[in-house]
Amino acid sequence: MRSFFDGKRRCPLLAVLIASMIVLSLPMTQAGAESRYNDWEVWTSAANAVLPAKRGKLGPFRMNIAAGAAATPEYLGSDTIASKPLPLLDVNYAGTLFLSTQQGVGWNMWRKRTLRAGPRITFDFGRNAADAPSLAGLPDIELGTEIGLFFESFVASWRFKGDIRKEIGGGHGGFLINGEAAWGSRWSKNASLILGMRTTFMDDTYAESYFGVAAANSTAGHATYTPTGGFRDVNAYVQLVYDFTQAIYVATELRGTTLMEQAADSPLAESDAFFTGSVMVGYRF
Amino acid sequence: MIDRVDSIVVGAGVVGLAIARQLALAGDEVIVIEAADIIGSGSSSRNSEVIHAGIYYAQDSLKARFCVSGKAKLYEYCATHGVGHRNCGKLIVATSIEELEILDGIKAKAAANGVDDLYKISAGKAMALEPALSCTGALVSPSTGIIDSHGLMLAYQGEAEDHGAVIAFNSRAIGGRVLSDGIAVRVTDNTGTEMELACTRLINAAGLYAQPLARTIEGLDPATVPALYYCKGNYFSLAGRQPFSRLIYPVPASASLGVHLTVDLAGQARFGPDQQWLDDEVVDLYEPIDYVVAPSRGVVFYEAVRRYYPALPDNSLQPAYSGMRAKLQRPAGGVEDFLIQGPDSHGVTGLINLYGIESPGLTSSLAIAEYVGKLLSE
Repeated sequence: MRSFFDGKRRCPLLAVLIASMIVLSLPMTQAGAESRYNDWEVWTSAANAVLPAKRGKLGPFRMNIAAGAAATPEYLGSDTIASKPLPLLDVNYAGTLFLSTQQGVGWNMWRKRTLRAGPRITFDFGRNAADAPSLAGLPDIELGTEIGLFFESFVASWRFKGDIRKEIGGGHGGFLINGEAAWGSRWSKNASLILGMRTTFMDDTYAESYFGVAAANSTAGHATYTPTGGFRDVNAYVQLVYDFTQAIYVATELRGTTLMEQAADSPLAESDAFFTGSVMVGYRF
Repeated sequence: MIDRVDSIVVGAGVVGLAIARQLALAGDEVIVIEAADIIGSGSSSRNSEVIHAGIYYAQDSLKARFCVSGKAKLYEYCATHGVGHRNCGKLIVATSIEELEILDGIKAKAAANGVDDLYKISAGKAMALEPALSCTGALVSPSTGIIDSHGLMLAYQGEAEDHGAVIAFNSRAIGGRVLSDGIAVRVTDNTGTEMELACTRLINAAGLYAQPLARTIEGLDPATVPALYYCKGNYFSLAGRQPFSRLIYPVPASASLGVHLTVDLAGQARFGPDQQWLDDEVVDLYEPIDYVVAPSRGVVFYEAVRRYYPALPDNSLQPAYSGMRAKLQRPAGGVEDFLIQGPDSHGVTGLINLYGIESPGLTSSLAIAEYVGKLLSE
């Protein structure tokens, strides 16, 4: 079996499949609806799933630029699907430092051939009550800055990722732990298939910010709700990445998510199971 | 020179929005002044979300007339405008032999109001319909339903805005004065900046704030402004699966319809509201209302609910939300009707004050709006 990272080939059948996914995903979206970028990293993870086959031409710099769209719930728990443009810019310096619209700003402090880990800063874009009618009357959650630690390791065709992050900048105020395992393979010369699962654990503060309803804000539509921490969600995904050349690729993802425990019981959770889909076209150099 | 519009509606609650829609559809230039940053943040979103049949109100009262005609209009409106609702029906249950006689009185009162579809059933039949129920008999009200109140208000807002109405959020009406050719309203925003806006027609649909606002209008006889009494209603939600498919109401209490069971469109059951009278006119125009539900009030709920739902498990009720009723009725007084004052009542051309718009205000909203439109066109 080919490794997760190597190779570069072509598969007309898969290209057709990817094109079909693009076409199929578009009618899911509802024009005018908005959703925040809090899961930006998740939605765009297909674009980061397969690393460049060889070092780029910018000396120590590697770049990954992509653009696309996602169909996602208006907010976590919403039953309304919204469209979202997905810009992506990843800058990696000497494999040590990275600056990414999705992955934040970080340092691969521990870096080996199959492992990278270190500190990073990420952002939580919060939630605006105006984003969805079902949030009417609830306070906004402001943009937040999160500090945390991450790791990513590779074992044969498996990839394991995890991070812990604590919001410190006036946003949700809580902390999250993410864990993810994925299996990837070259399906053909040009196509990679990745199957994965991810889960997120939230603390009490995060749970109250995103899923709670304070007594002062409770209405007939939103009864008072004081959640405690626990697993926020579990999701499974399939990603297809097709390399047209060594630099140009299209990445698609379909992800099924189930809200868990206290998040699923929230009066804000109109739907505790939903699908998201994304398509991105990118250029790596 | 102050800016001028045809009509100003104070309050973007369900009644204010319905009136704004009515006026905008008639071609008026309408501005809705709303202190909050969203529509319907007061009583309009803090009620049972029930489409009432029009059963309990005094014959020929505004409540009876508006509820019965408003119910029909509301069902039609919901169906044609995609507003979530369900005509689930309700049972009014007697839990003692004495209360069976009250059911007869309720049925007669409903019939006098034009609600002639109520029918009485035995305890056995009632409990066959709702196996978790305990009662000595019941009245079935087939035309009662539930509604997504926020969805309704969004629909009113959308139609009003489509016809040119503008909602000014974060804008509080703090006073007014009668002009020779209309009424001027003093408005302040979140930063404390004040401005004055003139209109030909002013509709005071400020709900809990209607009386305080009316008293600030220079040129309006304060004697025409009725006393206001606040009665908080607390709701508790039922944890877990609920066993009823219809709304369950006990026979009514003096100031409310009793601690009844309603179900929202998502199937979640809630009990309430109770009656918690507050001191007269304690609501300060600038202070947020305390909507916290004291868990200790749950004790009374268990007792009230178990009269008709004896299997209610311990610790199954959770504080859910509360609302405030704007009542014209004293705590120990008799039931008062809606009070809608037009120029014939207070002598100010173009001014409509709506007082005491509590339940069944949501059901009556379209009928009230139509009535206000007629008052203004006379």
